[in-house]
Amino acid sequence: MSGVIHFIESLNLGGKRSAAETLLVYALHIVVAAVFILPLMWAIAASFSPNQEVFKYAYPFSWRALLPSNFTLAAYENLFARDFGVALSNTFVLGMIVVFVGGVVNSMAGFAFARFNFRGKRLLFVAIILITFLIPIDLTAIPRFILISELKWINTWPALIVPGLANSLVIFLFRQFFEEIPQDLIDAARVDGASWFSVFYRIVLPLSRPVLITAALLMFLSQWDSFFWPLLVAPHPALRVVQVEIAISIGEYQTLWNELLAGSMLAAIVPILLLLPFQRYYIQAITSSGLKD
Amino acid sequence: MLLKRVLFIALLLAIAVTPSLAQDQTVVTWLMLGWGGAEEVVAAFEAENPDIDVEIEQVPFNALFEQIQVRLAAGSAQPDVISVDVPLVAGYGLRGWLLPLDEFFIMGEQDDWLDAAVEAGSYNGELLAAPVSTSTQLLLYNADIFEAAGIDTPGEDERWTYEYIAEIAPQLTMDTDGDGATDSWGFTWEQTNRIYQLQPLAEGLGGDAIGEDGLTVDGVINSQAWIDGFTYYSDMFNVHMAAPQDDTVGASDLFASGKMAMYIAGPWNINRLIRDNVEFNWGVSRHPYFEDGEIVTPTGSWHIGINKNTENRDAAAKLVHFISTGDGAEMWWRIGSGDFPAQKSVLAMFQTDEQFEEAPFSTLRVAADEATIGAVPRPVSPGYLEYEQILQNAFSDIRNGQDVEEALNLAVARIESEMDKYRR
Repeated sequence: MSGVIHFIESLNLGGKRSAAETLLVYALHIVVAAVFILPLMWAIAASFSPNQEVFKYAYPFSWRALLPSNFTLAAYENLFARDFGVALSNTFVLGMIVVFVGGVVNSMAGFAFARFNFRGKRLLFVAIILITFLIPIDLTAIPRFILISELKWINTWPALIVPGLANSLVIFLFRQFFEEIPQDLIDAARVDGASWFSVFYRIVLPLSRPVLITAALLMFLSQWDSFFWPLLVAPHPALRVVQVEIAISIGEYQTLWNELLAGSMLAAIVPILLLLPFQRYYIQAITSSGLKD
Repeated sequence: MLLKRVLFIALLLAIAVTPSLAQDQTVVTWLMLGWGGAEEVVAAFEAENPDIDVEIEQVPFNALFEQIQVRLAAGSAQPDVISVDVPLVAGYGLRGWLLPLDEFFIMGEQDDWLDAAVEAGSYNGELLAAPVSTSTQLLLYNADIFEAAGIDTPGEDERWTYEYIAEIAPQLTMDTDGDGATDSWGFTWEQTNRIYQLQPLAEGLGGDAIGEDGLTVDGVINSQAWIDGFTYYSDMFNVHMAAPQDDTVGASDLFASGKMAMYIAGPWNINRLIRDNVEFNWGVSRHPYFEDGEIVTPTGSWHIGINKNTENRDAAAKLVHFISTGDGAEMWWRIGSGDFPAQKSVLAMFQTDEQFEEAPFSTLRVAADEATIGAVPRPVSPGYLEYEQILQNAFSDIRNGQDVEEALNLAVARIESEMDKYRR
C-alpha cells in the first residue's frame, strides 16, 4: 500500500499537487491507516465489553463493534484479581535485569570482536554468534531444560535471567557499531595511557548512545515477549510473566476474549512507551549497522 | 545507623516470610491447566496429609502438551503428577513416561470408574492414568430463533435424527439485517475440526475410528460409513449452507451472542450460559443419531498420572488416589475443574442432588445421564497426536468444499506414513 502512495507522490515530484491529486493521496492514506487502526480499535472496544458481547457486532462485522457494547471494566478487574499485576512487575524486573547485566556482557563481547585479535576469533564469531541466532529456541529447548534442571534452577529467577543475558543478535549489533568508531580515537587514548577498560568505558560507550538504546530495547522486548522458555522453566505462579498470564485466558473450552484483549492492551503499552521516545536512535542504529529488520 | 537498622529488620522479615520447609515435608508438584478451584481441593488433600505439600503448576491449554513433551522427554523428576488428556495416554505409555497405577487402588475402587474411561486410561493392559473427569455432548438450542422460524423445540429427553436436523437447519438460517449475507446460522458443531466431536458421524453408521492394532487407518477412515457420515457434514456447510464455513469465531461464541439456532456442544457451555446470563431462551436435548444407525456420543476428558521418574512416588500416588476416587473426586467435580466426574457414584449425584431440580440447572441432569449413553472413546493409539492433526486438516478441507472421498483418502495416506514409525 505504501508503495502505491510513493508511486503517486513520485508522479508529481517538485511541482504543486492539484486538488484532485491531494484528495486521492489523502484518501489512500486514510484507507491504509484504517487497515491498521480498525482491528486495534475493535480490540480496545472489546476489552471494555462483557465477554458474551465481544462478537455481537464483530461477526459479521458492523460499525458498532468499534464501540464497547455495555461498557464495563470487568475484564481489567478480573485480570488484576488473578495476579496480572504480579506478572507485569515480574516481567518488568526481568527485562531490566537482562538489559543491565546483559548490556554489560554483550557490549564487552561486541567490543572484543570489533577491536581485539585473538586466535579463533572468526570461528567464534561465525559459528557461535551468527549460527546461534539462526537456530530456533524450540530446537534447543530440551538440552537447555536438562541443563537448567541439573543446576536445580527450575522455578527460580536465575532460570529466567541467565539464558537471556548473552544475546547473539545484540553482540552482532554492538560489533558492527564499534567497528565504525575511528581507530585513531582509540589509539590516541591508548597512547595517553588509558587502559582497555577505560577506553571502552570513557571513549567507546559515550559515542555509542544509539546502539546502547537499540540493544536495550531489543533485550527488553525479547524478555517482554518471551513465552515458551519462562513457561518451561518457571511455571510457578509467583514467577509468571506477562505473556503467560495473558495466555491463561485461553481455556480448554472457552476463551475469555475480553480479558485476553485487555491483557494484550496493557502488555502493549509498556513497549510502546519505550519505543516512542527512542524511535530515532533505534532506526539510526539499525541503519548504520547495516542491519535491516 | 538508621539505614543499617532498617536493613536488619528487612532481613529478619524476609527470613520470617520465606516459606519454611520442614525437614520431613514432601513436596509434590502437579502440572495442570488453569483450573480455578484447584487450590481449594489441594488444600483439602493437604489437610488430610499434613506431611505432603502440593505445588500446583498451571499452564495454558495449548502449552500443556509441549510442557509434558519437553519435561518428560528430558527425564526430569518433576512434575511428579500430571493432568493427562486421555487420548494421549497411549503415546505417553509407549514412550514409558507414566508409572503404572494399578497397585495404588484396592479391589473394587476401579469398578466405580466409567468403563470407557478405564479403557481409555490404560495401555497394554496397565492403568497409566486414573480417570478424573469425563465429557459428553448435547444438542443446545436457542428457543427464540426456533420460535421466530415457527419450528418446535426438542424436549429434554427427545433425540432428534441428523436427517431431521438437516431438514430444519436451513429454515433456521437467516439474514436478519437484510444485507444479503447470512448472520444467523441454523446448526453446527462446537469443535468443527476435531475427531472428538465428529467421531459419532462415522461410528454412528457402523464405522470404526482406527484399526484393531491402533495404527491402521486404510479401509477404516475411508470406509463407506466415514464417507456417508462426512458427506452429511460437508452438506451442512456446502449444500444446506446452514453452518458457518469460517471458524474465526467459535461456535460457542456465536451461540452465546444469539447467532446460532442449535449446535452440538459440551455441558461446559451450560455453565457458561448460566454464568453469562444470556438474553435469549435456551434449552438442551439429546445428542442426535442417524435414522438407521446407532446412538454414539463423544466421551473422554482429563485423567491424572504419575511421572515415572518421580522421587516422591508414594506421596504422588496418594494425591492421584485422592483426586480420582471418593470424596476427593466429588470435590474435584464440585469446585476443582467443574468437568463431569468419571466416577459412577459421583455422576449419580446429578440425579439426587436438589440443586439440579430446577431449570436451568436441570439441564445438567440431562447431560449427566447422556454421559452414560453410547459413549465411545477416542481411538487408543500411540500416534494419536498425528492422527488428530491430519484429520483436523481433512475436516477443514471437507468443510471448505473438498470432495469427501478424496479428502479422506489423502488423510489415509498421510496417517499411514506417520504410523510407520510406531510399527517398527
